[in-house]
Amino acid sequence: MIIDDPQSFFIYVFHPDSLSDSGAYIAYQGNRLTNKEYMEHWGKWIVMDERENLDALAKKLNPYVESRHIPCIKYDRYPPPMFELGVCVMSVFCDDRARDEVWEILSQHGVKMQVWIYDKFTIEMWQPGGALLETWISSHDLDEHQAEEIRSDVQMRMNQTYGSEDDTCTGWTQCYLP
Amino acid sequence: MSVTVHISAPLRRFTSGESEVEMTANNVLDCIDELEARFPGIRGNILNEHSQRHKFVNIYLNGDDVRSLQGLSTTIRPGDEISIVPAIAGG
Repeated sequence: MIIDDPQSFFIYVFHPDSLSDSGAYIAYQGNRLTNKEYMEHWGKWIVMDERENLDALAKKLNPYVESRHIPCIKYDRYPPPMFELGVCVMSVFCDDRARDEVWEILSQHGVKMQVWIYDKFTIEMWQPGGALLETWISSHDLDEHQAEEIRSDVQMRMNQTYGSEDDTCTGWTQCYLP
Repeated sequence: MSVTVHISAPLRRFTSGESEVEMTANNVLDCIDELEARFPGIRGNILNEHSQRHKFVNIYLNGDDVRSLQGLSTTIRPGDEISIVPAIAGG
């Protein structure tokens, strides 16, 4: 089902069963991943396009989420201003052991640019000193004390979320606004 | 060797809006040099003066980040697909 909450920066496509259980979609062949497995296997195919084209693609992909061939999708409501991309980004999440099957679905629906990103690389970029977090901080006109608080908070949440390798991965709690 | 290069939106101002370019190259660096020959100015938005990838740009060969292959010296084969995208995509 497509979850389009105007208060959220992201629009999601989830299986209804995933809504009540945080991170339930982070699974492979029906088994939820541990944090260690998540770091090794979890990632996403990236689609960059205009919002209306991603809306149309999301509608086409929704049945594959409902049938659990695609675990989860999220995409930008509008081009993120701090990154000057000019287009919206869709992430089509899956385990790398299933990524060829998911790519086949995407290519059948007209996706041409083949870009796979492991979540561990995204997490690295959102850690203190990482390109994404530092760009976000720069774009929000924070003083150094505020910036350090953000870095410290992010690091703490990273450790809480992913710190124990054998725990079931619950995924990152998404922010509502950019 | 003929390969397809997918150009992401932020770089299309150099390619007159073209999103796909066919070209001949032996490795990823050759490919970027070939891009520069056809679309002057694009190289400086992908690589620095030391021919190293800018930290905000990622290059993919058939979906895989070339950093996990042999970097810019990764050999390319006929029919391969290269994608050049901002590193922030998918955050």
